[in-house]
Amino acid sequence: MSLRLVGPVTRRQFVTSSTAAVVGAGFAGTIAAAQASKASLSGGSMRVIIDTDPGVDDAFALLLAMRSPELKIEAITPVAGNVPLELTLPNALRMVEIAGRTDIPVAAGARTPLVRRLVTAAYAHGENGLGGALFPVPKTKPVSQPAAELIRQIIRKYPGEVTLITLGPLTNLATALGSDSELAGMVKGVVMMGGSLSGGNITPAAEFNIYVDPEAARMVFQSGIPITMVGLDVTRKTALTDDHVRILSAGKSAVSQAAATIARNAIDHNRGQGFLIGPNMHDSLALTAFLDPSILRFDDYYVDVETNGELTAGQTLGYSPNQGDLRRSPEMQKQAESSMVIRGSAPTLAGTRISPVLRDKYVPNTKVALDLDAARFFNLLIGRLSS
Amino acid sequence: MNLRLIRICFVIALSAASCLMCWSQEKRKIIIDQDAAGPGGTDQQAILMLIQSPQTEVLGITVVTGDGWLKEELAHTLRMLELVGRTDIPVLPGAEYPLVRRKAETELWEQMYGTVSWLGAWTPKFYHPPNELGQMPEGKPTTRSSDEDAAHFLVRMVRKYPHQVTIYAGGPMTNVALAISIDTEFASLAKELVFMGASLNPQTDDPEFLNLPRHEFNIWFDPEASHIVLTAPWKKVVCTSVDISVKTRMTQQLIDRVKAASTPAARYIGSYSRLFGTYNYLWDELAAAAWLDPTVITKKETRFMDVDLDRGAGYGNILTWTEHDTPKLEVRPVEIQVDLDAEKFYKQFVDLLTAPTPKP
Repeated sequence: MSLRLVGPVTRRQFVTSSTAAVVGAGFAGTIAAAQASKASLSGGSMRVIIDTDPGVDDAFALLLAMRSPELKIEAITPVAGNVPLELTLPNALRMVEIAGRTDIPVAAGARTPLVRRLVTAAYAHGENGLGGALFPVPKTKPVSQPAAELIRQIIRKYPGEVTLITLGPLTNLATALGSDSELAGMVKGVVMMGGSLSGGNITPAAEFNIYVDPEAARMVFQSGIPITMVGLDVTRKTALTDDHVRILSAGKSAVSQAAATIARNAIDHNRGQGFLIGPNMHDSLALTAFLDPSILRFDDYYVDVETNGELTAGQTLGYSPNQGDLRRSPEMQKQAESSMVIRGSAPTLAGTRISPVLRDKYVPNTKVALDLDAARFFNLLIGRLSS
Repeated sequence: MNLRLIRICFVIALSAASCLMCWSQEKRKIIIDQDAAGPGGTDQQAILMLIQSPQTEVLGITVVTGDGWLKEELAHTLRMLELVGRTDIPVLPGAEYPLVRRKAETELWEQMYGTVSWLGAWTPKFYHPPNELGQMPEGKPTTRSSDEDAAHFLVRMVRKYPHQVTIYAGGPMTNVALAISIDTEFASLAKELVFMGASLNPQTDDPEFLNLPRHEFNIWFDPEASHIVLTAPWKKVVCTSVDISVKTRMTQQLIDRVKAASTPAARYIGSYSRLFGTYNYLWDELAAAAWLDPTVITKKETRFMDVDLDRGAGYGNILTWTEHDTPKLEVRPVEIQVDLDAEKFYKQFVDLLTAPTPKP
């Protein structure tokens, strides 16, 4: 069952959409089936918190996560990004209901980036954040704690066990880290959809999530937490196709149907805007980097975030002695690593005795995904969503 | 009925009436957000002045790294509260670091743009790592700080008492900025913001301001937090800037006047407050005094304020405008205190710090 909307959907139409007009008999039965299997799905052992701004690809990633039995999803924390929080929050609640996982606490996050004015991406995600796909107003409510507080509580409850899967701007995580100096040492890792070492999307320099809140991103990259960065370098190769929609449409579960609906709408929206690539499944690929890292190839970098640029704020810079135009032969690797300098921009004042552009020694802080096996990725994604 | 019983009933009725009278005078609710270095000194003196005033209800003290590191400041504050008998006031641990600024990059910045004379906890002369507590001549506390963190406490309190809580910020604004990030209605739900910070054009020969008149430590230490706070939709913002701070002086005479009393607060200040070097201004104390008694301020003006976030030479400087040159982007008006009645202020300082500490 696919849902099409005639003409452009306004935000008001989406937010006030009625249950009766949209749900239909098809969903009811499959929701019951999903709930019956809830017990097995919530028994996973890898603790994660998913920070997200649904968002077409966020919605897909949430559905994928809730169909991945090895995960123990401790919380979902929406943030403003692709669309404002008034939309990302109910979109996240919608996904939780569709998957029959209302046991997962959803906590409202930041409405705006730390320092910058919010820039959204309705051009890519449609005015309602789901490509125009309509779903019922969620009945589930978010928990009373703000996202930063819930993140803090969960990490402190399970020190060293929780991985943060971040699929949107990093405002919530940065706020939690800033408010509690011991938190960073307790986070197992961050797996992030964000950044790019090969050019941006919203600007030539920056990928959207980092662009929206560069200060928050810098705080996360400088926190000492081990980071896996899944950026545009790999995610620009994950476009949904009509074949994927066909397979999802044929699936019987509520999740499969919802995914098919979102996919159909996203592809049409993308085409309607005249884009030649995409819609890409950025966030699902980031989650996959956690579920099955063998699907991607990673390399170590020291990554920092440009916060000052007139044109380049939000750019992720990856420093590595093994990459780029200055890379060396294998025999020279060790020497390259120990003598590597992290350079910032050249200073304007002359006559300094030491080199002020030297920032630090080279200590990698991030595993950056540089390549993927797209076929294996889509097998995992479509397979789990349509099963 | 015998006369004695009548007299007893009369006394009871009178006490009940006077209790009702003081209950009906609502105390002014305040959260003290402070970089509470100690013992004694400007940070602890300001906290004490606010606690000592019978008109205040101190909801909590939220601590932030600034003049000292978070952990040592928590210890000094807890111990001070033990010594004056006010361990009922919760102490909340806040940010240990500014939002974005880091020590290593700041040292690099100094190499390019000039040394900064006051770096608070990062000042090389007495630097120690964040987990060490440094000297505690007043003794170590036995009480503990709250499990709740400062930012969430701030948010919770303004929601519990909407439009009633004054946020007093005596140090870098990291905690207040985090509260705003967590809850965009935080500023509009607070009653007002009162802060010591910013520097416009202070008339002084203090070398700290000679070449950097727009540089003041609280704002500068966390520029992003300062920007977040100064651009939030407060109903009212009051600023005690360096320009008025340099018109105050802490003298040995003042300390002696406090020492002459034997109340717990006076003994604490008398034992541990001392003069340092040439420029002993009463920074945070004036912000506290002016909030308690606005007639201490004899002249004030309005400026629009923001912070320079470019990472060059001006990073962390305060930016100000008057009505005829404000930028198109929204900036907010701040009431800046320009001049004071110094004698009135010093008298208030001594009166508050020598008084018996009010019970909770």
